[in-house]
Amino acid sequence: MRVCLVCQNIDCKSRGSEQLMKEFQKRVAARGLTDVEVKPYMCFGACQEGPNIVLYPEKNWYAAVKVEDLDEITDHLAGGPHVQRLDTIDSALKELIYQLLDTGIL
Amino acid sequence: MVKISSFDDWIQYFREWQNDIGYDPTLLGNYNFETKLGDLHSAEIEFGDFKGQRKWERVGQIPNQSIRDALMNLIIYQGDTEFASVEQQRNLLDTTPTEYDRQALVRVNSEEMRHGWQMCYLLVNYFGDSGKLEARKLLERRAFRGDRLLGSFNAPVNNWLDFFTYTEFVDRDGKYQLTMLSHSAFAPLAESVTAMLKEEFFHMFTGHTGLTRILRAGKIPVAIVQKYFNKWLSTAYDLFGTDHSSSANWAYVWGLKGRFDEDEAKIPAEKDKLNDLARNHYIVECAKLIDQLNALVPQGQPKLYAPDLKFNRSIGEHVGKTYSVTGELLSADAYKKHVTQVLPTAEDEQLLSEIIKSKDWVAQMQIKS
Repeated sequence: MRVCLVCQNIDCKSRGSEQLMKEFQKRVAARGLTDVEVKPYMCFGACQEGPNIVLYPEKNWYAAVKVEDLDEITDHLAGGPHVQRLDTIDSALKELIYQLLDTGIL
Repeated sequence: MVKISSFDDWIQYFREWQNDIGYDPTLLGNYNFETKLGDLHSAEIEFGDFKGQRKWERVGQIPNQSIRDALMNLIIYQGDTEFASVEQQRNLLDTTPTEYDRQALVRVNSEEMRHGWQMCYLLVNYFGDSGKLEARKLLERRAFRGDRLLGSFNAPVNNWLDFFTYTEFVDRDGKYQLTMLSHSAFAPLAESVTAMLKEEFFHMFTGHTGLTRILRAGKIPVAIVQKYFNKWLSTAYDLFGTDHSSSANWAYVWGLKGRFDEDEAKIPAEKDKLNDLARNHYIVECAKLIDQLNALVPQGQPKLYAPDLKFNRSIGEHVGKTYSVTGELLSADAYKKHVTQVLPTAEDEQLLSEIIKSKDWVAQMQIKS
């Protein structure tokens, strides 16, 4: 199963991450992507650039995501291109968080 | 006495500071210390008496010396906290619970150093001789001597429970201060702190996930975790400044420091309550975080909570008062005893050091080094 983690900590929630996650779940379901689960995630430590969506295990991180970006991200999940303009997080932070995700601890 | 004539001189002194506090710069790997500038919320001054004018790019554009002095003071205080936090945390590398935690701590430390670097860049390059002098002094005070400017930044960070609680609650105050400064009329400051703010969130993340992992492991008694909450939250309340602060009032009137929610605020600022307003936002946010953590506290154990606003205050109307952690006024004798029951003691630290030896005190993570 592939997962799309949508951060739900305080700052990202104030930027609409809860609504974003619900909308994303609808679009993934509408596209029939049955191998993808859209789930909440506590935080990725990049709240100022949130809401953040991390695709795992692919390890793609999209920052400052808006509802209008979701179709492109859904396309990516369905085999379409990477959404380069939303890939803005610095690589060192990505690596640290991916390592955290690899442990499955949180 | 060291003379700072240029930012290059200051950088040399910064290297000496790292050496003096015992921070091995090789730990930072290829971390690149640099000045970073983010975007302005607005090119125009956003609030106060100069609202609507173009933001100041140079100190010479600032209308009078009182405003220039207040601005420099804001930068000095911000910079002081950055270097202080590294001094406070410098001994934790010896006891990192996992490789992940070592990497996270080094990242936090390197970014705090960079934030101090950024504030000194402003002081040296914009504020003339007095700025250069203050940039030097930022590297001469020491948290472990107790002469940093704010109380929280002189308190000891002796262990990883200290560290996680500190980054959860004290760094979160930093988020508030940086957000308020991000609206500043002085463009180089606003641009600087916008970039710093991005980095600050990982520090808070480190604290919150660390506390989460401690509670999941279930080895450290919740009562001891609560004592560290009492220690750091009570001092974090002070960081917002005194109630009815005239300096906060003037900083707002002069457009130097906005409200936490300046972007969204729909009502005029209550200028005599600016610190209280920010502190109240902070308290609400901390309550939500503590609720999340309480979901991990086993049934039958006392839940975690934030200490009362009147407890253990070092500034403001409650300074020196004998309020309990739950807000009751105690006699002097009862308070003396109470403090030993609700703040970490030498015995607690001893117990913690025993628990921490076991390795399973925090949910473990195995990652590549």
